[in-house]
Amino acid sequence: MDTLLAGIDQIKKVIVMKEAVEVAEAVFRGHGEGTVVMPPKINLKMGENGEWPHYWGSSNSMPAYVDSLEAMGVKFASGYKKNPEKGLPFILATIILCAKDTGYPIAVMDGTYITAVRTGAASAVAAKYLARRNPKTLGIIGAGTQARMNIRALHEVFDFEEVRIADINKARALEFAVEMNKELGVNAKAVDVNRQAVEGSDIIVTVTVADEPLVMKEWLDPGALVLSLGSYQELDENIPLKADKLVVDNWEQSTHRGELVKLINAGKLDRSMLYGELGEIVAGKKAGRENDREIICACLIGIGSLDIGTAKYVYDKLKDKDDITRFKFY
Amino acid sequence: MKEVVEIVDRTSKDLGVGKTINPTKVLLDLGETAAYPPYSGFMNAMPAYIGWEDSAGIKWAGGFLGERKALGFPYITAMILLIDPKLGFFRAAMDGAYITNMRTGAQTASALKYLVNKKKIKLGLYGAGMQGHTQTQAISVLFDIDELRVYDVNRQASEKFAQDMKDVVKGKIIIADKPEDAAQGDVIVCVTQSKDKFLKNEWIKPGTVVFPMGSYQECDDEFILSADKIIVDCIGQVMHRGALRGLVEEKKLSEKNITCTIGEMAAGLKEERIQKDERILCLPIGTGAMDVAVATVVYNKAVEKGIGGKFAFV
Repeated sequence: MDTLLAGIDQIKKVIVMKEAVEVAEAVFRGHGEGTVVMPPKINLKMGENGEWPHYWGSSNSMPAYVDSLEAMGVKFASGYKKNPEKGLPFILATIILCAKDTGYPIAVMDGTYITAVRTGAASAVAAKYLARRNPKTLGIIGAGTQARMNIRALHEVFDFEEVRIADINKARALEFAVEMNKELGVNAKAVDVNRQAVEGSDIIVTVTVADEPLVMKEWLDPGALVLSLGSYQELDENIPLKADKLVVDNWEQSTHRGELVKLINAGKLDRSMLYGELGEIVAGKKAGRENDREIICACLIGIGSLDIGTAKYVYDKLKDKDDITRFKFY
Repeated sequence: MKEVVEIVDRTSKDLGVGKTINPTKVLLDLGETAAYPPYSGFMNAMPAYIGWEDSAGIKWAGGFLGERKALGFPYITAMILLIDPKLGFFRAAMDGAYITNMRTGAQTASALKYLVNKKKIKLGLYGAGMQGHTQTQAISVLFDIDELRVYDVNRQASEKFAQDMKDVVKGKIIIADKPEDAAQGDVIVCVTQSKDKFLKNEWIKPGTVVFPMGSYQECDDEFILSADKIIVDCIGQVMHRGALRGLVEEKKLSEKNITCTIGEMAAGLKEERIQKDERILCLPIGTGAMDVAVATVVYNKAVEKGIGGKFAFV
């Protein structure tokens, strides 16, 4: 036996977004059905907020087993806050994929691209179950890599008539609009302020590293779906607190980081106010959207099972290729 | 092995003074104790940052019976990933099983350095497999083993061990026919996969340090509860895994019963050398810090000597 080594370029070539969305859906269904094993991630802090050893970084170890995809492994993912200002990536990640019943390492692969893809794919799954019928307008706040992955994934599920993009750096928003119009043929346009991206939109996605409210409750129309992604607080607290339905990817994790942690710590939010986890909805244990007037808020921090499921999908596509590097660790 | 003992000892000191970051490992239970899924195995994710090496990484390690055994692989599987702690960039992926075996032996040797007063020791060993070998090699780096009594359920394994270790052990190697015959000496080391608490309280004399290194239950409850001192590598971890777990769950034992950590002794913050009338239970259950520390030295040497392959993940 040997171990397949997969770099970012090879991974990019084999991932088809439509399929990545299907993989993410299978992972969420597994969570709902109880066939995913995923202990809480552990965080190795290397001066995340400047303390010793002062590297402004931290690494998460995220192990998971996904039965329906026969996937088992761990993602070791780091976030370094000061990397972007040095022109280096914020997220760095490597995945070890193992045989589910022997633990043999069947692949070691880059995890940065898989992280980006699965984050977009998770949004698409959430929107499939939680957005109003035939959503026509998508609003995105933050014009980075994640925004690109989100629009690609959502585009697989819906036909939008208009995509509005806001970023604190207008030039980035303009660039994003041009690029996405060309790639996907969507009618994307850069707007000046967040409010313009939100008002009248059927789906609103926040993908920034801001820790301030970027979307206000009063800007939302009935029937809106708000997707807050990642570990930061980007919403007016009235959105999660007063939405008709509040959905998360994983409640346990939401009590430690992400959009809701401040509200939970302040005693304003508890589990009784949660409508459900996305997996329960995908598995059919709870209804998704029930009418066109509900305002739904979904907070998806990101779960390791999505990475491991997607890594297995990549592995299956690469394993029989001739031009792939293999290494014998044991 | 000499170098591994030094690395482990140095890392232990750093753990004692908080210059190593070692979060509690996270367990992915794949049927080791859980009812689902049915793979009779587990994996642990064990990340760490090592101050003195300025290195970070993770060991991803586990054990499987069932299918893995059928394929003829050893019980333990392990991989180690290293990153540059300053920027997070990937540095290396390597096998972690050999490093695990080496550092586990070294942990015992390093702990013993702070627990016994003499250079010549008598050793009782349960389990003559791979771990039995590395434990013996590591202890012999720091001590002269004057006499070694070995017991294994498989006598052939003991005979092979005696042959393999005859130049490592200064004194005589005695193969014990009955388990109680190996329970003699200054130090008793258990490296078995036993779950049946074979090591009996009445066998263990005053003046003995006992290391139950297996993941399960090797000592009977009476000994654990009557030991004069319990010294561990990582308090959070020993509460959930290994020899103490059952008693902790029954609420017969808690963190209050832990005398100190090996790191505190290594850093000179605690002095707990054994007295003639004392019996000490020592549990270096194994931390990711030791694996990452040893892997970093391996990585540096491999780079220097041009050993291994290179692959660009990004």
